[in-house]
Amino acid sequence: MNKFVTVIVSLVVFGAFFFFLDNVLQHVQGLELFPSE
Amino acid sequence: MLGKKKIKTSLFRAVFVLLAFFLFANLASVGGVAKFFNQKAYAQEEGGGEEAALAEEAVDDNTYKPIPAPTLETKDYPVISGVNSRVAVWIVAQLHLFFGAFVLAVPIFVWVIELIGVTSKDPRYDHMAHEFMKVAMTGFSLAASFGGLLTMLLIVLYPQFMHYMVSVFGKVMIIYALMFFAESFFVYTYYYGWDRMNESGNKKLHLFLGLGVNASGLVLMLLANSWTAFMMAPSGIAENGAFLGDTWAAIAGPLWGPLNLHRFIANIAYGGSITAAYAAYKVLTTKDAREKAHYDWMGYTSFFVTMAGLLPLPFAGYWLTKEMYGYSQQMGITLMGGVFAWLFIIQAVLIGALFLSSNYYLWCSLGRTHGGGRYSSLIPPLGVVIIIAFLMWFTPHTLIMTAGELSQIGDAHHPVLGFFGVMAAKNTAVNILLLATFCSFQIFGRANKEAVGDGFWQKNGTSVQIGLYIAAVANIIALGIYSYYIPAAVRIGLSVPQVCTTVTVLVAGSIIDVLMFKGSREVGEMKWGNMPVRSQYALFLLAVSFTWLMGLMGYVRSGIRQHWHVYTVFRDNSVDAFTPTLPYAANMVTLIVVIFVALVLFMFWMPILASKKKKEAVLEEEPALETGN
Repeated sequence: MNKFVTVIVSLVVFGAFFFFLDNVLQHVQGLELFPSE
Repeated sequence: MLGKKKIKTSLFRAVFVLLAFFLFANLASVGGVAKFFNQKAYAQEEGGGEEAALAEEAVDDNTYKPIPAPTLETKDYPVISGVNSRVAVWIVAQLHLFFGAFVLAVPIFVWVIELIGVTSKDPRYDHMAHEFMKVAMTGFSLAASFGGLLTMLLIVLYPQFMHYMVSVFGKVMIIYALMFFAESFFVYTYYYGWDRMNESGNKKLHLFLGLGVNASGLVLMLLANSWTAFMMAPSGIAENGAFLGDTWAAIAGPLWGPLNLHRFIANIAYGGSITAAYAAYKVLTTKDAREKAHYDWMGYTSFFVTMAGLLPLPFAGYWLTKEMYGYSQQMGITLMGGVFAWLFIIQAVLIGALFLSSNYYLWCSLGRTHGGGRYSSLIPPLGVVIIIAFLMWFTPHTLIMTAGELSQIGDAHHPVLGFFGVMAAKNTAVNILLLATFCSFQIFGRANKEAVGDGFWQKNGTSVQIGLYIAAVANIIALGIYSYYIPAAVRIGLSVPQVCTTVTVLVAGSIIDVLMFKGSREVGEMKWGNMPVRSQYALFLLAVSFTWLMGLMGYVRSGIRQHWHVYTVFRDNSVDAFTPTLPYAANMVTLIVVIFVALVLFMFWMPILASKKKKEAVLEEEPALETGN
């Protein structure tokens, strides 16, 4: 796989993971960090 | 002869095992310990409780009743001519903590290094562990001496305070004193029996003794921490301060757990920095290339221990502060947003110095490797990132200004820099600082290696890690910017995803490194000793900054009680019941650090004095480390 493509794919995968993590942690803490309105 | 020796050894083993069993069985038996602590220390009436403890009506018996917190006046505090009570206790208590932290920490990583030596069958680790322990031996006496002096000073200068504390913690103090016997037993047998047990094949027994050193040291710290935590957040007492009889309730207050964790991790980081300074001193003073290589390696190992402790330390501190806020919002606000807020700016400067010197040491370490040149182009951008993060990290929210300057700016906050003075910016900055430091670590870790093979990770590992870092930095910065737009009480919650992002990079990055460099080949032998002189001064800076930081935070932790001996329970009405100015506090901490450094030099001198001849014999036995000359 081309190195540049690998970087982009990795960026997208880990970016999605961090987004998921942020949302899970707000529920765990019982805080409305990202209001849905 | 041989038969007698075997009998003696077996007898010794049996005694050790019995003693250790006794100690560990008592310590490990949570139910037993809890029950012991829960036994009512003082006679109380049947069905009694708080009312019984507080009963002031004439009860015709001679049993001791716990005293309420006394109300003192200035004249009740003994005065010794020429001695400022607060200054005396401040200096001695802080010096006790410096040496205490050091001697609790060293056996932890000594034991781990000894274990590595056993599992890897490399005698160099065993020798290094033994040498670390040698450095710490003088520290034990100094820690105990200052502890004894502190006790005397407290009894003489604050007798009513000590009477009150004894009424709550008397049983704990006796156990604390008894634990010193256990600690001394394990320390002396562990250190002095090292070579003998190596020669007689009793390594397992020796490791067991090492566990004993650590267990007894840990118990000592936990017990002493309970007094400190109690003074800030008292528990197990009635409204008038009288002890209710439940020792465990008095020990396990709201701040005890966070204080234990914070001090445990900080001790490891601190102990590592002091031994790194010892190794740096030996590198600078030796002319022998083999010795230089040996101490360079020792310095790097100590540095690694320091960093392992330093990285999780801020988060233990956050937990402690969170619990302080939880216990008393007023205390929390005074700590971070009021009178003591500026001390945290000073702390930020010191932490920045710690990270700068750590990264600098790692960049210099590239010179030990044959392949380090490949990564030297990464140093300037990393340096820029670290410096920017450092600047954001220590920018204060309010500025110290004259009335004229205040009217010129129009506000207490600078129109631009004021944005960097809040936790939104600071959490972001510290997480970026940690990531940059980990990046420097990873670079050093791979500088002497070359991935071999056609596996996915060998070919793409670095690219995956680049994607990981970019995603993590973007997430941390995005959360930081977003946190400006939400209320302050909610904003603090965003620090958790930021920290988790950093931890993800640390864990994932390490795993990918292991996968990438499985079966890798070394570019060349590590050139231990091939370090510039300034890199060793970076290690000195680490040790001194750490010490100063501990002194500063010790003052904050003590000063946050303000005019209370025991917060909201036992008022301090001495002449020193005031918060000193920042320069005064800073000068005091500096004085204590200077005294400490002088004593540390004495401590470093002891092993040199003791083992001049033995050194050559040890170096003769060891396989030589590749030198850089």
